[in-house]
Amino acid sequence: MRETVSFRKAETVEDKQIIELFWSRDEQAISALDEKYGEFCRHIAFNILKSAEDCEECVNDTYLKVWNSIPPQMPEFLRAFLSRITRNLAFDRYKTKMREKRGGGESVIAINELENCISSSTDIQDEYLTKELGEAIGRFLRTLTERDRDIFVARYYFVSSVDEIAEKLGLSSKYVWNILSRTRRKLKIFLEKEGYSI
Amino acid sequence: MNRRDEKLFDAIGYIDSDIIESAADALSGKKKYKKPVVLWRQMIAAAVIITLLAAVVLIPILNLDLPVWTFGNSPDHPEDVEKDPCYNDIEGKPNPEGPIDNESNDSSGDGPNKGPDVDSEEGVPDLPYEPFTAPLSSSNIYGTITEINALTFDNVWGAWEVITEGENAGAVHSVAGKGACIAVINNVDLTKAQKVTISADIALPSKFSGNNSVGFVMDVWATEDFYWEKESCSYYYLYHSGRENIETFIGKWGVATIKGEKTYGWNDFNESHGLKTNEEEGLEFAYGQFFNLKAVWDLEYEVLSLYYNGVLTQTIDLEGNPFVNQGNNACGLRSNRDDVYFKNINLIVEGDVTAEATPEEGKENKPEDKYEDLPEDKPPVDIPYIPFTAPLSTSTVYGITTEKNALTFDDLWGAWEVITEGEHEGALHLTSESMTGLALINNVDFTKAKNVTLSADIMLPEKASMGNDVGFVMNMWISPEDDQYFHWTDDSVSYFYCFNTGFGKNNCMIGKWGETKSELKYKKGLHTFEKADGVVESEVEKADFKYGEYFNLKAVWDAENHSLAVYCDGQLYTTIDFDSNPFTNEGDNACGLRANRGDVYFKNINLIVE
Repeated sequence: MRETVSFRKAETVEDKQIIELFWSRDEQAISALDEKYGEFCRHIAFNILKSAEDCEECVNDTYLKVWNSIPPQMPEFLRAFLSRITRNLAFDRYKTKMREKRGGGESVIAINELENCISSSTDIQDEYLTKELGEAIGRFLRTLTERDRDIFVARYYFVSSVDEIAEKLGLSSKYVWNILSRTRRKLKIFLEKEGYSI
Repeated sequence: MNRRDEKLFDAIGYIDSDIIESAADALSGKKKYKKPVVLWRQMIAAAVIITLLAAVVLIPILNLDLPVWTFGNSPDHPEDVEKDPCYNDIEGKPNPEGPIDNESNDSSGDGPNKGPDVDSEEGVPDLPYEPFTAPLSSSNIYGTITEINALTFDNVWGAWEVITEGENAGAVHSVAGKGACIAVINNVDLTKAQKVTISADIALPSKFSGNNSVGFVMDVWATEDFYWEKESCSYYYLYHSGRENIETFIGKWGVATIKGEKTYGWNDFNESHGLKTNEEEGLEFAYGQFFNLKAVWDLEYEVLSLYYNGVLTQTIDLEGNPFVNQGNNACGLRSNRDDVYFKNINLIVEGDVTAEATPEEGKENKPEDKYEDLPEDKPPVDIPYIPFTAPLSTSTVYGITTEKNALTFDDLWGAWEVITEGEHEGALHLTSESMTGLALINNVDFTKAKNVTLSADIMLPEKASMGNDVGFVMNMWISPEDDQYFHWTDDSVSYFYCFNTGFGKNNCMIGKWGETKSELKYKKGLHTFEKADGVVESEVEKADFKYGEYFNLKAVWDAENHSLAVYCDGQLYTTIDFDSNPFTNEGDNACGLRANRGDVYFKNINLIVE
């Protein structure tokens, strides 16, 4: 049974107030963060890890990392900031798990779908190059319609299932799948033009 | 997963926060994108309700004796279709005698037709296997080439026949040998369709030779850089085989205007035409036995899905609705050899395509009004003046161009208008004098008519100039024999002129305008039918047509006696004998008016088909 997780921002506490709590080193910041975005973070982590236990550990690691990051950082979009940390931590944990040949999840499918979008011979050795690639993908995403962009990000950033995306966006699964297929082809062409040759 | 995939996944983590926020909003349910299917479903539901209500209310009131037939059956032989063992009924009843595996044609959606997970997590939902029953549009035209199959085709290139006995009984096949043959449902408007499915059981010969083109045809794509010509036909072939490979082929044959230059030939659609094919998986078609082939154009998802025996083999991303040539789409079969057989042909159209009723029946063209504009001493004509009310055939198509005349014309060449005031009020005339004008009842089937009568009151200008062609048009003559030296193309028109004026004589002329094939070269021009063409003209009594006043002209085609009689003001002017019925182009006859100047007026136009 698929989880139903809210991506909605809670209306009670403003992001700005939460960030102020972090800046004042008030531990209430963690509970406020968990209250507002805990479900959101767990959803991302669970999409990648498919394990409640790993998910919970990942979210706790996320809070710790946020605690250590704010200050000095002052994120403009707290939800996106959180999602990025959660996703990265979950993915690191996922890679560890894969190395241990344990488990798998939606991320396996999602990542496999991205196969062939970029050559294995492309030399991406460090974080800088990965970030550069990420910026290229960002530029590509801005060429898409808002709908197609949302679908792509929902699938490959939030690692949501096609069914979930379809449900949330009011579309059919088949349609979402078609958009994803089309967008991947476009991405491949875009990255080739950007020098990430096949 | 390999390292590059991981890095790409990692890299996606660096996309900008606003993009992430937008997607997060979408996932929170804040955004709902339009699901196009909703509107047409609602419209169809509304249309169905209205239609049912109208039927319940009107039928008893009007005491209508309505013919009942479905588009999926031959309108002339609905009972034959129902009885035929090769026919798959609406419930997906399998063919009990056919050699095919009809499990692939189930209607449950759970059988083999469901298709594997080729390119999707869930697979592509399949359509139920149903004969085509819904009206395509108001312009549906169906002739009859198949008595046994569910579909009939209105536009047939080459000769096709239904096999009535033997192992392939019930199958339709081309009998034109090496000629390219196409049987299509033509001139339909699929632009509003949500889904178009064509399927058939096809048997290929045991040994396939070179350069065969067999499969389905779907006529789509009118693009700016590939100018759509009337005689062009865009094809979708499910497979084009024989050249060492079998492949899905999508292209267009016809007249292409590319960078201002017209050329004949194939134009393969590629990315520049908005077409992208997915990676194709090789597919071994079965030879010597029937297999089921199905193509589903899904306009909601803008994909074309191809099924082989119910298994999804390929999807083609269309990135848009290919049915852009409104009202002039077509789909059907193609074969260029006679040992390819098609059975259980189905066409299913889903979407906002509705049928319109037959045209208004000449409200203002009452019999008593007929000669109100004519001199009182006008002699009576020998046919009853009845506005055209009887259906020509089930495939009659009517547009509305005349408000005051009994007839309406669905196909106009040149600009025509009805004069609404003055001495010619109610008359139809051509307004584009520099070009030839034709106003036609088009695509009708006269092959079974006993008599076809066309009459009108015509007024010529006081002075006819050189080279005027005025009169009636009857579109006929297409036979394999004709084709040998007079190649019929889409833009050819066979004419019967009641008179051809201006060159110092008035005469009755029968000919055909279009492309002629002479010594393998195509030329455009007029071919006048002579004795060699099966036309024998009787002694013609020369008559001086009247100028500057209306006179009545009438042509009566008598199919039983193979003769055409021409009357002027009710007096027999000439008769022309034919060796056989000239209306051989089943389902594609036409008749109407012709003029090439604006000061020729037509009134009280009548068409009577018996």
